Amino acid sequence: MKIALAGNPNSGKTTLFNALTGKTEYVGNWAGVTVEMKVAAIKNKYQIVDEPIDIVDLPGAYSISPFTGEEAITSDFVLEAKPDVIINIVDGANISRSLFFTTQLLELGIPVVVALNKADIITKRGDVVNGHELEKALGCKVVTITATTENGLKELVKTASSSVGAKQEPLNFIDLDGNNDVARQTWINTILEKSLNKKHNASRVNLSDRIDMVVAHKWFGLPIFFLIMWGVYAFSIEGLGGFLSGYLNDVVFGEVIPDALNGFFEGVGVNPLMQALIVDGAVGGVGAVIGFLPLIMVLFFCLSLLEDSGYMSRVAVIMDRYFKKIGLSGKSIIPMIVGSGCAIPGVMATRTIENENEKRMTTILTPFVPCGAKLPIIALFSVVFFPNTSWVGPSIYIIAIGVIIISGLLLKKLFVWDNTSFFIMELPEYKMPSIKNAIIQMFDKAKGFIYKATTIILVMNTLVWFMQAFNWKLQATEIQSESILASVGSVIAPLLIPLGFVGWQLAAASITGFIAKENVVATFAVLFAMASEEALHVPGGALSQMFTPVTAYAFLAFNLFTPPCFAAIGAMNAEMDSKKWFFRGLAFQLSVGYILALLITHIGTLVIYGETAVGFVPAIFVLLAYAVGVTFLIKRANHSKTTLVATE
Amino acid sequence: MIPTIIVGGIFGIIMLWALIHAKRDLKSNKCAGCSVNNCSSRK
Amino acid sequence: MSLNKAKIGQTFTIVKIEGHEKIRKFLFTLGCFEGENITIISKLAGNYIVNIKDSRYAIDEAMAKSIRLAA
Repeated sequence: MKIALAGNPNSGKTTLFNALTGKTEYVGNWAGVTVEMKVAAIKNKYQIVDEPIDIVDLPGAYSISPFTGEEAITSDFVLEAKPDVIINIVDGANISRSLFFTTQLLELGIPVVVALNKADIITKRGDVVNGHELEKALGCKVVTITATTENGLKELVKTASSSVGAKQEPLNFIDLDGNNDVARQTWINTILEKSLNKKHNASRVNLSDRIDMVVAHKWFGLPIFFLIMWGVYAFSIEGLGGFLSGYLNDVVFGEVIPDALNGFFEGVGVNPLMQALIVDGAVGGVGAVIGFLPLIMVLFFCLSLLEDSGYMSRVAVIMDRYFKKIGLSGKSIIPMIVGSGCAIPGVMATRTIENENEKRMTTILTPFVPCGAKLPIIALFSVVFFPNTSWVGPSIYIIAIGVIIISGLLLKKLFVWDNTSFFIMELPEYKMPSIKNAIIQMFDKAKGFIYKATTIILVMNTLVWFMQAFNWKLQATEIQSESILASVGSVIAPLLIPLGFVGWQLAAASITGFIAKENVVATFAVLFAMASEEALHVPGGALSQMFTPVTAYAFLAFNLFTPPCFAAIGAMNAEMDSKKWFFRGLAFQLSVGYILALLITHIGTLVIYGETAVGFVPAIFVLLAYAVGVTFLIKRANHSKTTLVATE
Repeated sequence: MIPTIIVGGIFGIIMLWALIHAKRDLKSNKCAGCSVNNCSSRK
Repeated sequence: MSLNKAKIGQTFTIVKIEGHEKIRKFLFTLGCFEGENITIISKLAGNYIVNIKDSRYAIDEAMAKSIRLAA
């Protein structure tokens, strides 16, 4: 039995889905969180009939006629996949608006059960709903529930399963050939007069509005936003998260585990090469990444609280006027905030943007926000080169914002399009963020992180270890620079000279970063375990041989602002829907990371050390070539713009 | 010699497991570690 | 008059929605169409916060201009 959950955005579908299936799909208090269909089997607790039940969570829709990409998913699914019964979640906080979609769902010939959700809010407001009248008027069953407390769910499942096979008639005023929209609204107003006794006056200024007046204030809004984001990242990277990670890295993975393993292997008489493979390669690399687990957990905990409160839609409002200057609307900030966790759901969140060009531009810009996987790189470089300071992490985010704005302006100039963007964003009421949800999300992400580390990162590390321990004749070699990895890295290394980066190790680390950004840290751990006595995660540690603080920061920027990991690149490709744009986006991201690192290295070294860095001369050439190239592209774009105007 | 083979064998099994899971995730609809189901970036 | 010229804090009846058909249809599903009420809650950061049916929305200047209200 397939039960589909359909309803307005932010009405509680995913919360209900999680409650019924035991899944931990992402719930955020803003419209547009769920961007694709999710299916799962119902939990045993609710499996009250013999036939196995599958629940399908759909993205929110205000109506069957799609306006956004996600509404299209709902519409397509309901019309094609033919679920056995539809549970239409009606948002108790806005019954009138929800019913528009309901009247349309009733025409599909599939049995509908209305789940009147957020009963707790209805009660709090003092509104009274006459379920009986509503059932009579709609011609379908109405079950009152509160998804967040799992109230009424058993009855809902019971009602839904017993409705399978029933005949669902459209409402009697519906003329199946005509345009009924106005009639729908009129009818809704009429029946609500009978079935809804509203005490709540929605047009009065309430607490949420008052909070908004501060938080979305013309002058204070942006600084408050920066303060909040700074707080979240400082707390995660430098505060609690950093503290716990430091312990894990230095003590657990730095001493306890390697010492124990080495002792064991030596005592048992294992071949030293095998020992090195396991301790330095596998454990060393994976350990270097897992050490950052506390950091990731703290970050996602904080982000979850933030997103659950409802603040995110307000951020869209604040950013709208700034984003308008680069041709986007405030809506584009949401994929970027989601992207600060992981770029993949971030890029997918661009589906809420209707304008194709805005969507593409946002897709290109979203990966510039550092994702969770990049945190270990930031934390590592922060500890080694800038110990006892707390500015590195937040500075990266400020640079990200700068990069996004400048890139946005550049993209707008380079690629010709007409701009008809507008902005409308629903502002849900603020709610006390759920600690329970945040903890669930935190552990969910932790599980995922560990899983990633013990599969893909483990495989990569072992490969990297092997490649740096053996030469092309497959002999073990102590001289790293004769290894397979060194020769592979040396092919790319010359391209990094203009950036002031010397060494095949840096090229190798950056390349492995495309499989998973955490690999940059893991690869370094493997490389320097063999070549250096000093530990990796300490101030002035092994990496100091390869960088000055300035070039280190440039290397950090390079890895953070180039294209994201392959998985995220795949997501970009899927959302771009055009190979031309996909490659443009990639090329753009590559050039941003490259030029940024170049500028940091050379300007930084000149200013701070008063001398030129390695690769200064090539850098000048590269910069000139880039400037010429960009100017040419802009001129060509302007020309296309004028011919576009001339032909109108 | 023997300890090396035993340890090597155990490690090999772990690696095989890791490889299979990494490959499976590359083929399926989930990136290793991500919690999004049926992600379209995997199609 | 259009919404961007209307007084903050008042409720108005909508007279007409101008603009692209897609946007008009979308606003319609939210309950924003001729004859319905809309309240202007506040103006923040260049956007208008309005109430339609029982929900708050932020709309930008361009959208506000296209919503015509009864005086």
